[in-house]
Amino acid sequence: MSLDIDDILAELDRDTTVVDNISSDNFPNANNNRHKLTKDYSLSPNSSLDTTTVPQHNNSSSGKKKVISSIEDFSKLMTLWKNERCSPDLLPYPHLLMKRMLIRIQEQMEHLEILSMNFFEAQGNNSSDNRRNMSNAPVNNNKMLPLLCMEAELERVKFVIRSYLRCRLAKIDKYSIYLRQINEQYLNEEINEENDDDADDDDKENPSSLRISPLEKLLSPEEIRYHQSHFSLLLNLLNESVLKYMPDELQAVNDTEASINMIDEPDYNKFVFIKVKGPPNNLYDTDPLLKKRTHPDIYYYSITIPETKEDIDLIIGSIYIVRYSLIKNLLLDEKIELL
Amino acid sequence: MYGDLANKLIIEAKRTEQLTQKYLDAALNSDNGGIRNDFNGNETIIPMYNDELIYNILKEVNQLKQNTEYLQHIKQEEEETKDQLKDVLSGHSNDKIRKCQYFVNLLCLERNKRCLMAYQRMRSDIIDKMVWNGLIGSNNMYNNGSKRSGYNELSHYEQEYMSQYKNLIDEMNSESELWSSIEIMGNMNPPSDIFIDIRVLKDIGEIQTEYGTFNFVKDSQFYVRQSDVERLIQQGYVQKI
Repeated sequence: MSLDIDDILAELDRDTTVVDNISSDNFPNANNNRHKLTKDYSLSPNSSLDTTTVPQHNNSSSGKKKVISSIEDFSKLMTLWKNERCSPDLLPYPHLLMKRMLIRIQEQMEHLEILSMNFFEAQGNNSSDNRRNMSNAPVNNNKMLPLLCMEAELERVKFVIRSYLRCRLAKIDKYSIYLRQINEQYLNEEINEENDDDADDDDKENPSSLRISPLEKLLSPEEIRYHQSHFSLLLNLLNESVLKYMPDELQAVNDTEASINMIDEPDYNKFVFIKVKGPPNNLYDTDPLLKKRTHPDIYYYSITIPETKEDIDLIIGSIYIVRYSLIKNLLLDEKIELL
Repeated sequence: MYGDLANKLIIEAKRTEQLTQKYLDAALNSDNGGIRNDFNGNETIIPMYNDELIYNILKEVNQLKQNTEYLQHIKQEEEETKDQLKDVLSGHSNDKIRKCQYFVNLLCLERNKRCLMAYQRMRSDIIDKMVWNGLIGSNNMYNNGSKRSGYNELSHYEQEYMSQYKNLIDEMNSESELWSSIEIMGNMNPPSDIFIDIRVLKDIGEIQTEYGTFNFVKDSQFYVRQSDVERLIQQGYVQKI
């Protein structure tokens, strides 16, 4: 396969500028549309680049019976990413979503590889067949454009996940002792409960080993491993360089008895911007927290500021600035999102 | 005065933080290929570990510790002899002074500990960032040819920590499917162009990519896919133009 790399690169240059113009006009929309477009491609690996409409239903990547479209996943990912970046606290890790995203990315990467290989083969044949005839360049350009869009889109999805995970890792580093404490508290509770269980053997239906610890819910297995290893490394460093020279009673790293608490905790009182989304799928009647004000029909959540005993109505579709602690539960139920 | 040394340390830590922030920001945000350009062998990202100051603070800690022990000892002795000493008034005021002395000593101890911990934590955070930003390759990759070998500005334990942390990240990177497929060490700026112009700063040799093989000779220019050369940009081998 003889390839003139400079020719291809020159063509690529023109194409990327075109893509760029589109995307810079209106980023979120363009990105979504492209997402749809390219995911459609990914679902039909055998079809040629020219066929665009393929039903979303033949998606085999999600293990559940209910098929979750890649668009839904993507918008979920975007929401989670924004929430994670805006919240002072570490939010639960979306285990299933991330698994699906990983499969999708890998599929898309493989698919792209096949496509680009086909493309280059075709290109190589073309250019060797009609080397003198340069009129085939525009055709190649047209074929190259979707490929480039898909690649740009893949890079963007990868960036979002990367940014999301790195943001989480930064928080894990920052609150590592705090997270450890949560886990220790849980383990202690569990040991106590186990002792209780031993006392009365009737209660064997809910073995505590099956329960998920809060840390396992909050973090992915990788993050748990990272958290533990990094913490032990850090502890080692602090021990060797500072703590071991300290008097015995001051050697603990998680010193809470001293005049100042030495454990960094998330600032739950931080103010955050929120947008009220309402219950999923607009099922207003099924949400017990949701209140309704007639005339005109307005749905809202009511929260109370403890300090001033003031009620706030969070009307669906509006944007507010509130303390994080007040809306944490609504956020976890995905009824609001952070901005 | 007790606590002055620790204060110095904290001021230094603060200065370090500001200095490194500048470098790391440059490394994170620079579009033209890492920080290697404005950052030569003479300058270092992280200032020297302040061995002497730390040592002196630890000496002060020892001194304070001895003070508290002495004060406790005196107090005990006093309590034992309290029955014989019937002078309640003078005993009372003495007791108050001792308590106050003891408390001040304890607070100084605590403060020194906090300052030392903060200093160390700040440095370890910087090391973390250096690892993540790919500023630490293997030792010979980093500033090869310069007189610096290793990381002299780090203390022995910090060097150990750094290499262990780097191993941890590398290991997790290679073991976790998710981490490696999204290139978690990759660029934290939103991707704009898939293909970029680069200039090769150091001889690397042949690089295989999806789009063919490139021979990266010094001072040559290429138009390549950004994700293919991301690591090379971070390590300062090539420059984005």
